[in-house]
Amino acid sequence: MGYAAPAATGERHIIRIEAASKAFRAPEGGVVTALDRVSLAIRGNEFLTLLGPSGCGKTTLLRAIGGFEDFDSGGLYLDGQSIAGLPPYRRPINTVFQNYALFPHLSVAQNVAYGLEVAGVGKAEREGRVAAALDMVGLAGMGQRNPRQLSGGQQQRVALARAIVNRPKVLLLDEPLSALDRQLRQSMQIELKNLQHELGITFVFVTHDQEEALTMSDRIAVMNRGTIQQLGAPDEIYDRPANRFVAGFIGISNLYAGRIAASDSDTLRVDCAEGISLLMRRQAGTAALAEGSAVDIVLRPEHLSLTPGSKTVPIDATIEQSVFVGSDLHVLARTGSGAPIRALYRRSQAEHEPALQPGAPVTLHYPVTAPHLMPADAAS
Amino acid sequence: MSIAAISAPVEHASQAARRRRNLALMLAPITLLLGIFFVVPLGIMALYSVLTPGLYGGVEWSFYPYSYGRVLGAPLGAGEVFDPVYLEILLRSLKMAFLTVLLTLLISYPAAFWVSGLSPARRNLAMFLITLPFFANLLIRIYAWMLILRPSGVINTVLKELGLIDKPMMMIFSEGAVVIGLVYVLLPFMFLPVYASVERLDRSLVQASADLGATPLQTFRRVILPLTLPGIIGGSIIVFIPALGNFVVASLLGGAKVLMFGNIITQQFLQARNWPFGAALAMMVMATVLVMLFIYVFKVMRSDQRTAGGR
Repeated sequence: MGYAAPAATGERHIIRIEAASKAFRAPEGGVVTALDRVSLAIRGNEFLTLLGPSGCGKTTLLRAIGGFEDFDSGGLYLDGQSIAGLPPYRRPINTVFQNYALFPHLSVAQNVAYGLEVAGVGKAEREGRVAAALDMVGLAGMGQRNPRQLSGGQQQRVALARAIVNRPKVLLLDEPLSALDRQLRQSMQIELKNLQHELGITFVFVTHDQEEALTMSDRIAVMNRGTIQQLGAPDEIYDRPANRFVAGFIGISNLYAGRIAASDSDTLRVDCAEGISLLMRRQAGTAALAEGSAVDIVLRPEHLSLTPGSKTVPIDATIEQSVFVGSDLHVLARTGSGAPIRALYRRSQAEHEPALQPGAPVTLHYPVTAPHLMPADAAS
Repeated sequence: MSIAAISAPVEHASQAARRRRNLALMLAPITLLLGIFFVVPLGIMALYSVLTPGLYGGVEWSFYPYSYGRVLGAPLGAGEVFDPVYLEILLRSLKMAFLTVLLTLLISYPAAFWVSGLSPARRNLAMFLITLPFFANLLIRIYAWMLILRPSGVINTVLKELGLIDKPMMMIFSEGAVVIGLVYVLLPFMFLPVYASVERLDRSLVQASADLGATPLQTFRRVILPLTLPGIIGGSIIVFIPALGNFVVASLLGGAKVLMFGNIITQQFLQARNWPFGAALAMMVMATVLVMLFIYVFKVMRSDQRTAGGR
């Protein structure tokens, strides 16, 4: 909706998906639309993340690229050549599966060598590449182990080595970190990103974890209900969400729906359904929005501060709750008209902690440039 | 404090004793059953096989090694020549048992994949249908096959009516008929273990194999077959052994023409009344099966060691 496929202007797209649709028959009867005319161009050597809630179609899209599903309609191109209908074993694409899918009857080295063996790579070259791949994922010397003897993190690395040893053009990763504990997941995120840089292979990564997506990706495609809601760099997605769904899915936000009440060339005033009026600087690309247009506004909690600055707008509110989360305080307040408002108070910034007790009045200040304006969803 | 320190290990010891007693109690029935109804009769058989045959059945209590000589076709004494008839029957029985194993496997393996892909309700129905023949008596089921295969049976009648043949085909009383009967009777014994291993096969491994570039044939050979092999081998053993020893199917569908080893043994005990010879034949079958089992166990242990890696 908010996103149109970028025109191929000399940019190298390794994978191109054109107007792809896919529906499944639901077990309870009826039809579930997994993909609804999705177009997506994936650049060479980029780390692209498909991000969305479960059932948004991200896994279906990934499986279609890998060859495990076919689109009902639409095109799929690898390096400009159609690969639609090609079986998985004829695609120079490898997958790291969610449950790793390591062969239990083969050793770690045999698992990694599998792709080379079926491709008929000679023994000497095979052994060299297997050793190099295991070394790359930090499992040098573990080749003789059985996969079942390894920890979850190590199995993950074997699955990774087994895929990259084949030097695929594209590596697909289906929520590979979801089974790992938080600390391991964070270190694997960095390792994966480094590995991708080192190899220069395109990574297409599926996750429902926004933090994972923001940490690793060059670009993120946010998906919902079988469509791509927004495609862009992590900061773009976070700072300038295309619609209410993206704003709500990524990070914590204050989301308000309202209408443009007054505007001039420079500033806007939006009266929100929740009973507050927000004053803001007009952003690029909002010229089409005239007075009376329905809009959604996102105001990130970290932009709300307790102290006024130059060009800030004050909001009076009453604190309802403040939650201590280590470096920050999450403050939930409510304006006189009943609109909820979340603020993030960074504790290290002040010498003394202000009184943020429930019931205390507070004035929150936001920079006039902070609110982000989005055209209202047709659905809402 | 001191009481606890003393009583704890005592408690521990009594717990261990209780566990041992419970284990002994639980294993007692099966030990008793196998002891009385398996080990003792087997011992009697082994003993009888080296005793002198009595004139009207039974045995005389003197050592007599010639029953084994006869089984192996070795000349007994003056005037007798090498006659490998029993070895031939053993070989034929082995051949038919192997054929039975092969056919039940060829039928069960694809069927197991098909059934494991069904919805749970249909899967349960399929399993019920597969075990359904057990509810009818074995003899009745074999008689049904006689009605199907005999010259005036269902197949010949239909083919003649259709004008495809003018003389009835002689299907019954042949090795083929016996194998058909054995396959029919033993099919569930192959299907169930094969199905269990196919069901357990993680389908994501098949996808991973395809993803890594393996053609369907390579995936079958390198992933599906090795991972379902335990079921195939288990099914093969529990089909092979009864197929080799079966005499009901052979006597009904094979008639007097197709003798299997089980028939010879039955004859020796019931008609020829040469118990020691029958016992020697039975020991021969058992030895053959045991040798095959040992080879199998040895191979499986070796492949287990291989997959276990450096453990």
